[in-house]
Amino acid sequence: MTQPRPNTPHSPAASAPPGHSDPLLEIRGLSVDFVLESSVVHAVRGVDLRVGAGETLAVVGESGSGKSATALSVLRLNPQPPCVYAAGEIRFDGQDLLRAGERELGRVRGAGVAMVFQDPMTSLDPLQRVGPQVAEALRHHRGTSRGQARTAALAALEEVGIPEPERRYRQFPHELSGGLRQRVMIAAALVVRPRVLIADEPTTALDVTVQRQILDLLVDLQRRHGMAVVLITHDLGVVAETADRVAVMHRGEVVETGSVLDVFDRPADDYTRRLLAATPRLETV
Amino acid sequence: MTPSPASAPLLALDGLRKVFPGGAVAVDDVSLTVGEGETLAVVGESGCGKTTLTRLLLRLLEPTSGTVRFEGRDLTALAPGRLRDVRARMQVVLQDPYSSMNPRMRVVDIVGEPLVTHDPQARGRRNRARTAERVGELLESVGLDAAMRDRYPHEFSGGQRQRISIARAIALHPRLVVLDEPTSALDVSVQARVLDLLAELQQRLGLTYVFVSHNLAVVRQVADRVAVMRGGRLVELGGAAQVFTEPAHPYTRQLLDAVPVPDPRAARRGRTATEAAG
Repeated sequence: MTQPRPNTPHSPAASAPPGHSDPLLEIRGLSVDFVLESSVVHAVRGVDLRVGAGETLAVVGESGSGKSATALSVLRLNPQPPCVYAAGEIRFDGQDLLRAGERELGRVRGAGVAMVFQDPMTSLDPLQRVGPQVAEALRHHRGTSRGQARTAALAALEEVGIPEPERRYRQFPHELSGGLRQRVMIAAALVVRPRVLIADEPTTALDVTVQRQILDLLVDLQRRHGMAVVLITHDLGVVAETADRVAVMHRGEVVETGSVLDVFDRPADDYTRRLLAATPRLETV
Repeated sequence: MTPSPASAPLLALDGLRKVFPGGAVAVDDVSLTVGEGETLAVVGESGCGKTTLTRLLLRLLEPTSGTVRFEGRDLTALAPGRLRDVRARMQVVLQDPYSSMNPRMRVVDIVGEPLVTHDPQARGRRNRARTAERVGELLESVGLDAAMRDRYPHEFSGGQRQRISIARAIALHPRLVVLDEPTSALDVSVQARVLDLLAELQQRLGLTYVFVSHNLAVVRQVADRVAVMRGGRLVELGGAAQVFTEPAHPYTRQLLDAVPVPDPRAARRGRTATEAAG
């Protein structure tokens, strides 16, 4: 399941943990600038990240750390302008996504790499029923027939734990709770069977009990499909519960990366230590 | 932060109920007391009625029935003039201070506004210098620089803006401060410092806090007592240690179990246990 693809273009760098498979997605030396009228913001500065099949990488940081700009770079979703991809490469399936043509990028968006965002209300079309929105990805990217896409979308809604999928299929986004809307977004991302799922603060807008359900769902789906998951979050609790490895970002740079156990047990970077110390905990010491 | 159970409570809600037009029951028969100097946390998920409860106790909303007693007086029966006097001693800090600040006002006017409103001596051009000086003191007491009073809200970070709204809240020497998700919009390292500030001010000024939050880990850190709300009702009320370690209501247990624990070993233990059980 975690077998590296034979055509993976790069062998893992020397720093790769022993026994780890080749990365499915690899970001090397990524720099992202936002060119404003009177200044340039270096949002991402020389970031290296990698994630293998069946692995969950958490990218954790506070606001302005560059974690979302990094995530959006994978599918070149940062608004251009003002965004400029100043340096680096993003390797997926033998190509550099930063330099891929629109057609190739479209293919990757459709089947290789899928994204889930914080606020499903802004990514769902409020005027369209939710079912067809899940089916649309298949119709658009795979040319699946209407009937088959509908069947697959219903199966995806069921897989993400939406009760009465037939009824929900016909509902509009505003008729669903926040948790159900996020499940719909996850179904829309998964219906094309992506190999990489990038989730950008997927539970931040949700109540804590709903967050718990969505996190459990993501972990479960990842195990079932062996996807590589990149989870962008500000919450170290979410990191601890879902990730295999973690990259800590601060001011556009990855200040520390390693296995979750190592980073939580022995944080090497001063910023990581401060972040851990500032995180409130349920148990008192 | 030690409550003084001997004296009468500073705030007492009795059978408080709010039904909105259309029949939605936002707050349903809530009774509780808050003692001088203590922090009562009100927790619950969205739609549980916690925000409506704060609006009722500040009397920004009329209850459908029930009473709010502050300093022993029933606010629901108070004449508007008297209510204004009382309001000086009950203040509120909201989640997003930016939306509650006039972007065209300088900090000196934002923090000085309650002084001018409530204290005739602070009014007029002649007293402007005095007000500015007092604002400078208030800014320093929340960890900002007195010279910052001449700046505008957009020149500050989120954490600094929350400090400004705390400075405004304590300007009139209140006894009660309602903190409505005061750190929910802040980064975790900024949150830690604002929580430290709130604790220090409480100590120094003998403040009583009603701390509304959806973040149980934050509540664990600040609360003396905890009120858990669900569907407009109070499902549990107790000392923080007791509520967090031996919750009496299954919903409280459910809330606590849902909080992601920033400890990978605990998280893995939990998952293995769940899988073994399932």
